[in-house]
Amino acid sequence: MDSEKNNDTPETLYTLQQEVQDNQPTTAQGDTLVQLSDEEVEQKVYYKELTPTRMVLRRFFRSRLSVVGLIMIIALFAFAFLGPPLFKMCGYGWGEVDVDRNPAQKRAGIWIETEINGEQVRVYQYQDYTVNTNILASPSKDHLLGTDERGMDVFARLMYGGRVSLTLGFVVVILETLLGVILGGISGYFGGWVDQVLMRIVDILNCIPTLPLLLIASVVIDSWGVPGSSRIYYLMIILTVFGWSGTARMVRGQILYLREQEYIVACEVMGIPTWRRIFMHLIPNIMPQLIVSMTLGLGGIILYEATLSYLGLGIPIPYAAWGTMISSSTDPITMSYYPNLWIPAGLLIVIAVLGFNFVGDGLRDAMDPKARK
Amino acid sequence: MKTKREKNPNILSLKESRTILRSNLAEMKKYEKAKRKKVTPEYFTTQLQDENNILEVENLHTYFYTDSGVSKAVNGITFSVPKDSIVGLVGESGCGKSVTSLSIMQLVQAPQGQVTNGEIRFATRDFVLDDKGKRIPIYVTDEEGNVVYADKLDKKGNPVKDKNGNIVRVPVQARAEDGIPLYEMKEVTYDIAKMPTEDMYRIRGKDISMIFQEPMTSLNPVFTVGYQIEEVVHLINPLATKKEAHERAIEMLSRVGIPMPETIVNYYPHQLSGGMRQRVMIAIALVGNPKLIIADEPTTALDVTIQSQILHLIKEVQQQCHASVVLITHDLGVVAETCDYVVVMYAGKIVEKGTVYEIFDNPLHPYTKGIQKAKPTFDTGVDADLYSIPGVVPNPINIPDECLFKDRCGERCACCEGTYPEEIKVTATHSVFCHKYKK
Repeated sequence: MDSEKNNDTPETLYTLQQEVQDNQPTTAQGDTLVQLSDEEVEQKVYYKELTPTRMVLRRFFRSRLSVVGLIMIIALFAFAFLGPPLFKMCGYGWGEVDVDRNPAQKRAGIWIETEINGEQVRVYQYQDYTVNTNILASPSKDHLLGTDERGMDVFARLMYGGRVSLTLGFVVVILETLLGVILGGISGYFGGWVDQVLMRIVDILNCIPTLPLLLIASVVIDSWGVPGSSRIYYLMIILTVFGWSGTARMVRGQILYLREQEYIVACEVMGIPTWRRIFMHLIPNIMPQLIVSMTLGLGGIILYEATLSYLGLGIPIPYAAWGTMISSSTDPITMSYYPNLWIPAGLLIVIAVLGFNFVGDGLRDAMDPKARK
Repeated sequence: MKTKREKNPNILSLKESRTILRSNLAEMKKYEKAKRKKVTPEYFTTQLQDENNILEVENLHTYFYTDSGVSKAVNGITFSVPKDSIVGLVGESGCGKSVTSLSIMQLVQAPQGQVTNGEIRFATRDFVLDDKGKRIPIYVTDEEGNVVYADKLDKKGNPVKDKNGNIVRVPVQARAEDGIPLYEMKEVTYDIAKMPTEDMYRIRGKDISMIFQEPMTSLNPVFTVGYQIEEVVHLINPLATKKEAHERAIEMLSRVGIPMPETIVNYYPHQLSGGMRQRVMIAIALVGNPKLIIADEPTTALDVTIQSQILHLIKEVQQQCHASVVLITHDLGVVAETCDYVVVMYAGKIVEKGTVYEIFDNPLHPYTKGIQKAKPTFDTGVDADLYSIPGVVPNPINIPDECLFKDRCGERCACCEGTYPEEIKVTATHSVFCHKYKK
């Protein structure tokens, strides 16, 4: 049976080939078809596609909430950094620590008890007096949001305070991420005792409550007699030192997973040095998560700065910061009678934190590789 | 009434596991300490037994110190890879093929995995060092034998001037065809099993490279294909400019048969199919003109048509650059198609080795016969059951020193008892490890 089959096969093949040759592809007119050369076939590109960056941007802008967040952040930055020069251009002369020295008419009143027609009555009597500085002015054309208890323009201070809060947030987040990436990367890649030492440091930092630690650090800085204007740099260092642990832990976790991937082994096989494997191959792979954690971290740092300033340990008066401005509400009279001093600052903090969180959420959704469509 | 719980004989008691842990720690410490020792190149320089070989593995033992005992993944294997040939390493899953390749690359996961014994002799080249320990460059000479000088250029291409304003002139270093600066080299043989990892970096990627099983995960997803080739180009040729590296990347891509290399070079791995990615991996492996390429199941993750393309490509590039290939596979069809020599492994040991004709025409070991019988063929008909060797590969933990296949063997006889069989040479190239052929 087998031999029969073998005898058949060449013949069948031959006839098949003959048929193919006979049926040369021809058109209706009898011309042979135009054959494309290999190069011509290859050069045809049938579709174009988005670059990864643009794909992420497209998905980011598709979400309405993240666009709202972005607008909030851009508005705040414009307010803080472009606001003061514009403010000056509009004819307002107030700066961050300028006190309005114009004398102001103030009217105070007390209840007094007098006798009218033999009857005991309580009468409210106004007393007008003049003060040397224009303190606690109501919102007016001159002072858009009034002045505070030192006679400084609240609107101007809001803008300068925004500069402090936003720069501080950005600088701290960048420093934190740098430190976290370097230490987390080394810890995750090498493992062993390096990992043990670094992660125990992280554990220690994590189990001490942050706020008391920050308070102590601020008091220590106070005792060194650091001038108010350079206080912000010390604040940046403190917040960085206590804040890198979260990033480091996240980076380490990601790298523990990624270093087992075959492309890292392939890198090792090709002789690519260790530092290049960590920082040029592994870190770019966790960039999406890093960007998201940075954005979400910004809101937290702005809040920390505000808390410290509120407690009088951040940026000291007369320098402006949103937290410092809210701290005037500790006085019950300001709290109840002068809401123009502290409500705007509080609103701005809320807007900043909300904005950064919206953008962070949007970025997370946009950069999630599993949602890639 | 309480009955005394019966002891499960398959579970380690606390005492046993403690002994294992203690001995493991001691062993691992011993090998790690030996690795940290500073050594001179003389320590790991050896001699090849046969000048026609490029790689000789002799009595290699790679052990893994696991919590349930020492896993002898590779247990004394000896084979050699002749120059300009393809050697197939065949066997079931878990028989130590991949661990052999990782041992050759020095990629065994330390400290649990250790090459405990044996030699891996690899014929490579190394720089000749002068008295100060620096490499000696080769300079371009003119017809009379004088060294050619040229202006020293800075990075922007402007001539560098010294303090007096004279243009500095330096001798021109010779370059190879692919732009690699030439230094004086010597042919040496290194024992990879003894080599420290720092010295291994001079060999990896340049003289040995590797192709992986999973093309889907062996390329970094965040970089373009071109960037990943260029990186290796820069590593091998530090003088290469960005443009040169890019051109070399395109050249490498077209060499492995990728159409439109100028476009593909800017693609990210996710834009390519599995076969294309495997081609890119081969291109990366070929950048350094390696002498030995280890292909660890390069076609397992690909479909059949792409498989044959990739195998042909490997064979083609092997012939072009006169490299040797160690092809790890469990597919006998792949072996028959591409290999010159075959090494059949079973449970960390070699059971039979020889040329591809000897193994396929005259299989001697019952295991080799078994895996050949287990191959689907057209002759048996559609309804016939596919033959499979009964039983499973024994766990490599605490394996006894005897023939490990005898429990599954169909040709078992009384002579099978006793220690692991000696090597029996059938011809100069063909040898088998089986008691049956003992004279």
